[in-house]
Amino acid sequence: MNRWQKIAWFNLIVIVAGSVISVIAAGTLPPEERLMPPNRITVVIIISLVLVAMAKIIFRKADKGVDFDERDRQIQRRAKLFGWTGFGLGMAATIMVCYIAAGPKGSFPPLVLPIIPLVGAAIYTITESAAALIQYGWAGKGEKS
Amino acid sequence: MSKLQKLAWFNLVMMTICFILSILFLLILIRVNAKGIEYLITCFVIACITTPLFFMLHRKKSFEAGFDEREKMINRRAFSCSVIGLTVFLACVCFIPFFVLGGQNVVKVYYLPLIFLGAIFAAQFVHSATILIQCALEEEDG
Repeated sequence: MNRWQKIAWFNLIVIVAGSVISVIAAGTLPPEERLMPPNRITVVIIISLVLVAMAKIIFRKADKGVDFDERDRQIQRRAKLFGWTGFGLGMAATIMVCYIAAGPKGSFPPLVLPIIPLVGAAIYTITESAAALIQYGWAGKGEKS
Repeated sequence: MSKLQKLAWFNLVMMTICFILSILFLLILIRVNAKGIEYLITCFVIACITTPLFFMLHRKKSFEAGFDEREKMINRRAFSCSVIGLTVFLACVCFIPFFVLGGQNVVKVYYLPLIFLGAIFAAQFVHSATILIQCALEEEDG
């Protein structure tokens, strides 16, 4: 398993675990406190984002040798394209859910606005990581770093 | 003018026309208090099915197939710039209102489709503009 597969697995696990914990945390909070930060959902989201941002530091580049060849670059390019497609669809779905929930003449708290790109970013990370892992073959085929 | 430049001009003009028309229609729909969320869901489902199908059918004739190595590089750089543009745009339209209005205020729901349309337009605008700027700079250099 090479460095990019490790990063993809790490991001996938962090985002999926973060999303599941956020949903559980939202379920345990009273409805009126769900959109009132700071609460436990905010803490889970911040920890997940920090971990994803630190993935490249946690899985450092090898001191010697090449750990990113032309094939890896091609895989990464394709994975990013899938990621951005997922991001667009995720954003559209989130906006539609908010629109349906509020109704055509409705209104919503401003806290929903930062949540939209955060949901998009989560979907981007999941799609990109899954696309990279599918291309590598989930467990093997990538050169060792 | 190369194929990539023609494509960039076409996208720029078409996206601007579509954006202006979308805003106009959205304003009309808000004015008449239009309802019919089922049409919106139908369009979304159709888009979710047709987009992957379109990519699968045109897999052999990829977007970059008709371009040379220099144009492919320009297109890749433009894509990176459009992604940065999209991120900056979303950060501005989603985070600034939250900090300006505060947690206790409310935002009208028609702001949401405007965000989505604006994001698509911003990304396409930056993509096309970057292609045209890069081509112009390369032509200047000879």
